[in-house]
Amino acid sequence: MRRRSRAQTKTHGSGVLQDVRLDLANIQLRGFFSSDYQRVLGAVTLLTGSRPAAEDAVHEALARAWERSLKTEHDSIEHLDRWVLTVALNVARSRWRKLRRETLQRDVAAIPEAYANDSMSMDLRQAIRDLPDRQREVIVLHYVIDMSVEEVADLLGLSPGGVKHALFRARHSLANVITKEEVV
Amino acid sequence: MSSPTDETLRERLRALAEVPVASIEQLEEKVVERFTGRRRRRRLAASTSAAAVVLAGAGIITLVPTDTSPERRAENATGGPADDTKFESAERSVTSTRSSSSSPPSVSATSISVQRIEIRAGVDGGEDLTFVFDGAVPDERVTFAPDVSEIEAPGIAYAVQDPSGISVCANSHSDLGAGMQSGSVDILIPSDWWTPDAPVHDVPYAWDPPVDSLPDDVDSPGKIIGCGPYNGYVQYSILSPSSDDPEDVRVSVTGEANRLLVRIRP
Repeated sequence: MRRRSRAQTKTHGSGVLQDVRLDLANIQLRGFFSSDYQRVLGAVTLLTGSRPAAEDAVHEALARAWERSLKTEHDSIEHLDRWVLTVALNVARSRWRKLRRETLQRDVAAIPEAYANDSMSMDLRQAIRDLPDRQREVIVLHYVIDMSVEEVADLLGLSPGGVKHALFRARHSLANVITKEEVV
Repeated sequence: MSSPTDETLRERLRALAEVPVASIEQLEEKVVERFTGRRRRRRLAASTSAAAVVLAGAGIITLVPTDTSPERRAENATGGPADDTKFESAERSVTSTRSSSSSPPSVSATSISVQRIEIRAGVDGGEDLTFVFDGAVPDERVTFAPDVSEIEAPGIAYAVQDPSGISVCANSHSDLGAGMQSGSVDILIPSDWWTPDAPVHDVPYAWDPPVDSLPDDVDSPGKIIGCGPYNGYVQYSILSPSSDDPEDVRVSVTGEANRLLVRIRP
């Protein structure tokens, strides 16, 4: 991702939106939208259990990437997909935590509704939502984003052993659900 | 029945993750809105601080010398983006400053340094950190800085950074995002105020309650990094606070003007 100077962002003006679009093209967001967006959004949707929450987190991450590209002189984001995923995860965690706290103060029973996705009624989706946060993150990053154990460990700040352990536990929980489906 | 293979699990999870998406143009519109919204909020925060400095310089902000209780003197004069309703009503009542000058920080008669940092985690879902100085700060005003690298403040400033890139003095850390749920809240103390050769690092922490006794579900800030003087400021970066949203952070001088209270309320 290349950086534009602040001066450049103020030129070419027939309106803010036009300048903004030039920047958008410049930081390769179009490339991200066409090649990575769906996969990243899908992963964050699985992680949060909510499509709106996932969109909110991914769009916030993209806005931050864009802002960063305007702020930093020589720094660039090598892998925009991983960067956006990392920031979106942080945003989603933070907002989920905030929502959970606010919701708990109002009505404990409202939590599932607050973050529910209409289409998330399948047993496997529910099983993923029921996983502890760390197991859910590990299994989605490994199987959906196709990250290696070492890459997941690096992104989440865990040891490879910790990732393997979480993968084992998550796999065991989800295997039970899939096995039941196969029997039915 | 045998357990599903990795391949089965991968296929099922990827199928679940296949979500329909809008057109590229529609996505661009959404990100444009988000980006311009972030810029608007930062500009608003900056102009709010600047306007308050002007008001203070014109002597419009009221001094309340007769009431010197910490609660009455706690509020910062230059304001910030934090939402008042999250904080105690007593702290909203009065704005007072020790100095009504808007001039930049100058060499003070009293040099200060940080003696200890008191940390209270789990306060209303957030945390309180108090920087205890060995003397009174020369100017009690505290200013929110939208950009940690471009500070315009008459005294102490604070900023927030998200985990995608955290500037700590001359160093920029873009790899701190791993596992971090938030970036940092940064406290910037004018280096002109700082006692020459006073240590910036190795400031003792005082946890209340002790960090080891905190329940698992209570947030606690991570490491606090001190550095500088650099570009006119000594910087303390509170990493991984309970929030790095400027609306969730309030910073004010309290006590006998020798304590800087950082309240973070997600």
